[in-house]
Amino acid sequence: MRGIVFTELMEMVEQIYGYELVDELLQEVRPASKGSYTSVGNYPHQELVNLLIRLSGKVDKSVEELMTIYGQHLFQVFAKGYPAFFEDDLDAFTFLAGIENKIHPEVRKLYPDAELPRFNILNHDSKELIMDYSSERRMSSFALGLINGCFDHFNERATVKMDKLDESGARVRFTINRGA
Amino acid sequence: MKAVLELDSLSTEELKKQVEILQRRVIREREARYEAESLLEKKSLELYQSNRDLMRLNETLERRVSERTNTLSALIQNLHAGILFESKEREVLLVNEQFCEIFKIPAAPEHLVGTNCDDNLSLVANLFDEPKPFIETVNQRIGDREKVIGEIIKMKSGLVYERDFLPIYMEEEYLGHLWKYRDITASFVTEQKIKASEEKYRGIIENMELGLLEVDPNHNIIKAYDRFCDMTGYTREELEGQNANDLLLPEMYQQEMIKQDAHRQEGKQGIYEVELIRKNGDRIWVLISGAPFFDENDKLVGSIGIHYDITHRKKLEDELRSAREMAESARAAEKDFLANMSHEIRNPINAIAGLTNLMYDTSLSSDQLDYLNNIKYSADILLGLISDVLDISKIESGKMELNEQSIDLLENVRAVVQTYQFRSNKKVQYKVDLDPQIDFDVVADPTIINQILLNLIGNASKFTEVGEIITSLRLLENSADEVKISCCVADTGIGLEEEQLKHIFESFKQADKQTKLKYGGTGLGLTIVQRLVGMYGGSVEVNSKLGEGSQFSFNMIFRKSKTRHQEEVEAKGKDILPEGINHVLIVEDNKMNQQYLIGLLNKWEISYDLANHGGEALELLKKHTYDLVLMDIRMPVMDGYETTIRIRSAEHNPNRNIPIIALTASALVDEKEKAISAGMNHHLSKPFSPEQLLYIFDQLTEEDLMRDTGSTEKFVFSDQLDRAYLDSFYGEDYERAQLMFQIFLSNIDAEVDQLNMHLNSEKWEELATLAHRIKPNFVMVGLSHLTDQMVEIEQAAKQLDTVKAQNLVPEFLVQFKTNRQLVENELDKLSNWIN
Repeated sequence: MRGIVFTELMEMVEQIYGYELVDELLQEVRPASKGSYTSVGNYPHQELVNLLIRLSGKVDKSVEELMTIYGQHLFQVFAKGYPAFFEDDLDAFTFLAGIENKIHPEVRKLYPDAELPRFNILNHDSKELIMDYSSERRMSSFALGLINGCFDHFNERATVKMDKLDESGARVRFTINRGA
Repeated sequence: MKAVLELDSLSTEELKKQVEILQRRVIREREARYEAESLLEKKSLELYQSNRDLMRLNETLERRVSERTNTLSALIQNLHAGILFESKEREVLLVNEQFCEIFKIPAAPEHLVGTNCDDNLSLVANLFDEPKPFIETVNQRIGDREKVIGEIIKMKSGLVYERDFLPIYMEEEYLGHLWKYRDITASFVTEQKIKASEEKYRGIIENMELGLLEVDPNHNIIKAYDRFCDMTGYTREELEGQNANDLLLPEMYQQEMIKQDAHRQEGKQGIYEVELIRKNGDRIWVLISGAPFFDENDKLVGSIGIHYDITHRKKLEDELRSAREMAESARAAEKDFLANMSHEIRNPINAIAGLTNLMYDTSLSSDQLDYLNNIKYSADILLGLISDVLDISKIESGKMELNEQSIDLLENVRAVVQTYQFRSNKKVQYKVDLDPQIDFDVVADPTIINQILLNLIGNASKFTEVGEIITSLRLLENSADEVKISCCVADTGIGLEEEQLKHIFESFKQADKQTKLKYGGTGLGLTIVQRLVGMYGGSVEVNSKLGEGSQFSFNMIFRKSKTRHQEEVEAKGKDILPEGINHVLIVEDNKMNQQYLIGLLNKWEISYDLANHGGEALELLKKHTYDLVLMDIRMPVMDGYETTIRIRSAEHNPNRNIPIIALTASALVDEKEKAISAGMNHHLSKPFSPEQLLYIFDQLTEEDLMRDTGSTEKFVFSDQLDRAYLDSFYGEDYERAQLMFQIFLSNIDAEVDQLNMHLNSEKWEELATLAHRIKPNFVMVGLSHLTDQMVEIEQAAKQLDTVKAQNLVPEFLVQFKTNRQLVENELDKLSNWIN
């Protein structure tokens, strides 16, 4: 998993709870990378999950909730860090619908070893966007946070419904409707 | 800062903890920095490496491009054509020396690069034949930006260039254009010369009234020349582009044209005649000589036809054809007329001569005898005349019948001369001078020999008042098979003038009118003699001096006879009454002929019944039996052929195999053949003498005798064969029959094969000849129906009725197969019987 996900998580935890909690997490989880994360590095996915589980126990929020909150935060970071993807006159639906075909190919150029989820667009009109998420990492809550972050960025409102398409959560359908 | 501010308020333990946290943080962040630095270094090294690779690649590519450009540039410089590569702004990018030479530009090519062509265009334009159009086309090409190749540009210097204009695009972008000028002066001049010479010859052909037309392989007219336009009545514009076949050729000649096309595909030329439809609908006949022509790659690109108007010739041909047809039908009518005359005249003469003969047997006063002599004399002259006319027509129509037999030539000559000796009451000696070396018989037709002699001696006697007429025979050549004998009739008569000698053998030409008045005759005698002598390979020559006499001489070639002629001891004219003929049926419609026959039969004490036509004859034959029938041919109600066929085919008829003697008035061979094939046994041409009739009676009774004596021990032929014919043909000479059957079987297969081959190769004339030759073979082994078939085949082949022949021959072949076995079986039976 890209280093930025780890460094931003640590950053967010530090901002909300202080570095003590960051230190606590790393001391307790003892990841193989020793917690010396850098945004240009690449780290095992399981380390993130372990960190989130440990965090969940400390801040009284479920892992899913944490993922959603973190996703929403991370979108802002991406928007600032990669303004090239936001140059065109976009809206949230168009941006989300273009992830698979516009954003991911560019990511793969920069990081050929990146493992990305797949988004399959089932419907895209002015009112409604239906997209299916599929990833063996089962991080649909993280995706939900990113979607929410997206609407925040474009300053739009929408209701997002998330339905599991299988037991494991590897496949999930997002039904997004414009408005509050 | 926040942490520092709060330090004071913290306990030592807490402080210690904070320091530891910070220490750990520092360590983490340092390690993260190290890792990030090492990652970035690695990344930048990668970037440096790929950058270097790119630079190297770039250098290689540049080198290659430069190499290629140099090669290209050298190529262009050395190209045997003027090349100018301009940018779209018309600046020179590349130019070669040759181009500078063409446009008389004094600068070196490399110095021209970068200069603008537009500025110099009007300057160089003056080098060209037509400066203004040159400038216009250059600007036009540049404006159009379209490829144009093969433009012909002529210079004032007389040089000719072929110019190519090539716009050059890179991707979508227009880079400029390339001009290429190639010197084609030599080939252009040659081509012009060829064209001029072609035009010259076409002009000549046109002046020769020959219409020229050029078409492509689909017959679309490429070019029509003036004379052709005149022929067809179309203008050149109306013709060119049209399909020649659709426009000009009548439907009936389309096939011929397809045939000619196939011919032309092979590069062959052809000459053929067809009709063409003119614009006004008229038709003209043309003789076309068509030849294909090819492009430089030997591909057929069309053909050129030379048309010659033969309408006039065709018209003449048609007229000639119809004239010939008219002449032929007139000739046929003449022949028919002669044949009819033969019937119409001979019948009454026959009666006159016959009744005169009978009257000599009555008691006559001396006056009556004198009258009778005169009647006979006139009748004889009349007969002679009509015989001459008929003979010549027979000879000319090829229907002269040769009735060859073994004869003693000397005896014949003596007999003929003797008749004149008796007849003559003038002071003329009739002599013979015969070569004693001629001590053998020859094969010849005695009638013809006699006719030759009678004519020549008769002629001589007519013109000889006093002196002698000598008939001489000399043996000239004597080989094993053939002899050549010369004959001469010399007189001491009035002789002939030189002028007369020239025309003496022409039909109807006599010495002169006086001669005709004085001596009479048809003027046909010598013509007949000449033709008859020709049948034996000779030609009559005449020597004569006016007032001293004439000699007619000729040579003849005969086959030698194997046997010596049996002299008939019986004196002619002496009546020997036939035995075994007691009751005769006369079938004859002519009253005078009836009288003649009745007179003879009464004289010979033979009883008779009389039928006026075939119908009556059949009725009588049902009720009575006769020993023979005397059958006229042309009769009302039912003619002789029909009657005979009915007699021969009637069941339960006691007279079914009765001998029938045909009495024909026509001397033509056809009628005799028809009579025999209808089933008659003998044939007698009217007028006939009592002796001739008696002779036939004799022959019949001889045959009867032979039949009768052998009756105790007789071989019975199979009833699948024509038993009646076999019996009558072989009598009881079964050994001869055996021989004939053997000969038939050993020869016939080859002949039949040959027949089939002639049919397959459509050689009708040969087919007819062969059918004619082999037709008697079948009847001789009892296959008379096959002979009949052969007669039909012969007729069909003669008349070129090919469809009929193609049906008849296979039909015959089937029949032949089964019947051949019959003959083989019969031969076995016959051989056993003889042994």
